[in-house]
Amino acid sequence: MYTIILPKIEPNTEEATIVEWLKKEGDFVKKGEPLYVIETSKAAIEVEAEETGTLRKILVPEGKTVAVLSVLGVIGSEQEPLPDLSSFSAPPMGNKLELAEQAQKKMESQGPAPSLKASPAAKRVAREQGVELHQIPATGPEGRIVESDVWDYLKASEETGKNNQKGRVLIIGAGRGGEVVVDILLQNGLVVVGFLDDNETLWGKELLGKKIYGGLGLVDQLLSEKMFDSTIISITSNMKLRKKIYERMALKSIPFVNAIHPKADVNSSVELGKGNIIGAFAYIGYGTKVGNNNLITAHCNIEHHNTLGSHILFGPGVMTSGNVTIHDECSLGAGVNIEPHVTIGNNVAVASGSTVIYDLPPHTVLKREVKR
Amino acid sequence: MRTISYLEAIREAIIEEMKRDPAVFFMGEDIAAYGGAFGVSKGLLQLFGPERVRNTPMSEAAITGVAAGAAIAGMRPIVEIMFMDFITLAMDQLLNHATQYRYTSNGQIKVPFVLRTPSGGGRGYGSTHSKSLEPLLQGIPGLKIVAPSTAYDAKGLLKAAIRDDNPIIFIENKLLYSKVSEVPEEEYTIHLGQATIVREGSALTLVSYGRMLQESVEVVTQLGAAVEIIDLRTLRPIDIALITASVKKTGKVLIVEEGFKTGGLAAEIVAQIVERCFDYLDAPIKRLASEDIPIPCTPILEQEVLPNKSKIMKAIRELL
Repeated sequence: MYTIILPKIEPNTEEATIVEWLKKEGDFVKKGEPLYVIETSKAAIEVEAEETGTLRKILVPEGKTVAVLSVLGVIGSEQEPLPDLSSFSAPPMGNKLELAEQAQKKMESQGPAPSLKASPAAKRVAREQGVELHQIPATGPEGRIVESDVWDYLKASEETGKNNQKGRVLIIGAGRGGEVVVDILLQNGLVVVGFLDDNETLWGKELLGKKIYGGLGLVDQLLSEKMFDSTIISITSNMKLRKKIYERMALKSIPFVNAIHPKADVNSSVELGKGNIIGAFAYIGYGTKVGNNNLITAHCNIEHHNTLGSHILFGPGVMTSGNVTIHDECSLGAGVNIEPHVTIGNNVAVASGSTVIYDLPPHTVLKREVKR
Repeated sequence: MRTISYLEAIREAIIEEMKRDPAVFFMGEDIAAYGGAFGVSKGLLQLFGPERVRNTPMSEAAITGVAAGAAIAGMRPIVEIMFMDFITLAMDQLLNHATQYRYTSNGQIKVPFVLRTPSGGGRGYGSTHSKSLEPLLQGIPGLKIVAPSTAYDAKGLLKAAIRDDNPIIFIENKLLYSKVSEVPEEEYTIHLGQATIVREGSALTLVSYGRMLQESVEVVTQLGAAVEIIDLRTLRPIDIALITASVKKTGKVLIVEEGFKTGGLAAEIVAQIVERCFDYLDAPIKRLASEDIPIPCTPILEQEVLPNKSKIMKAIRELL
């Protein structure tokens, strides 16, 4: 008596659906003959019998999804009595999913992964200097970050200019933009203190392990308590709100930080304002001036001698030529191309994929037909 | 400057204070004609006569009780307990009587006496004559504990102790008696409760006292390491301010003591460091002390149990 076991056909396949049995119970099957068809996330595959004999029992019917290495059926001689098959019955996927969910919940209830090792002195210096510990290479015993590691890191980052912005940043907006900004700031070696967000349901919760303190009204209190050194707005979906908040904060003289992805390439001659988010692989060329609170997403190419205002949204892959001027509060969709010397007035919206050849007056919308 | 031994410095202090103040007298087992088990009081009987240099019966409880009583009555006794191991016999007098009167009388009664006693191993005296029982005394309110590591400190601290109005345990390390250092002929005292930095350094704070302090100094000198060495001099009260200032500079601490490790003096110092300058620690604090077993008689085994230079060197290397 042999058991038919669902093989682990591809390295990443953990489960498969039995699409079709090519033999019925009681049929004779020869070793090497196609026996059943499975479908994985990658392909439908015919599986051959590994033994010769009678297909005595099918345990997993067609249409069921089971984990690899589950017992699918039994091959043996017709005379042999069947063994107790209850122990072979493969758990249906529903159970597996539940188990996975339970395991996940258990992991979550156990809290975050064990924190990295750092001496109290290293922690204090990192806190005082505004550096996140996780990026500091540890040289102490048992992989402990010691005080000299922090100083070495600070010295090295000063030399490479990577950590030219220091301090603890409070992020405004705890949505998906918030996650993006945290990621960029941490890669820059800045400390993220937490978030403010006017969405009450988020208050007291955490995003990426950082606390959401409350609404924007808290900013004065947190500032007076010296809880943070600078701020940045992470809102990426509503540029009007972004502008409103920026101006409100600017009135209070709250310092803004730029969030520049380490893989972005900002020419050293660029005059960069504050509160800008600049994504990965964005390029800003020689002599370009950038205002405040702009959102320049990944792969944007801002060429030389451009003049950019403030509160502008650049969709991914916006490409400007040289000497382009873009005024405040514009919104450029993904993949917009702009010819040299073009001036775009304030509050202009340009649809994704457009090519702008002429100047656009303020408050205009450049539409582009999209085939559906 | 002239040099004298630790033992001579102690004798000088006793003689000078007995000459200065007629209320000071000296008593203990075999301290008069015999001059004491280690010869500290040799010649004192001839100088001051049997009224002021008195042999006692073999009862540490009686010696201590009489000293406390005499102190209350206005005298300033110095007593010798032959080996520190025997101080357990005087514990009731110390813990339940001598150290409490000043508090319970609202300061009306003063109990100024000094109990001198030699501590420590290294001479193969075995388990009943080699212990360093300082930690047993640490938790006694009203008691001061002094433990010099040099002849200079021994003289200055003993003179200050004799003039202090509280019961004081003065711990002398047996192996230090013959150690010679510079001691001025002029009068001086050293404030109780003040530790001292005997060697400056930036990489590690080494806290010790008594013989282990001297062993540590030799090791650090040999290593040439940037180790800051603090001699506690007074064990109770501990000069935690000096220690924490040093820890804030170095971030690393090694404490070397000759007493047993569990519940030792180092344990108390570690706790106080963590309470006061946790954020400055850059490595786990290391303690070096005697193993928690009776001190063996056999010299080879005794060296295994006691802290020594090679153990100190290893601990320093692990921290640096």
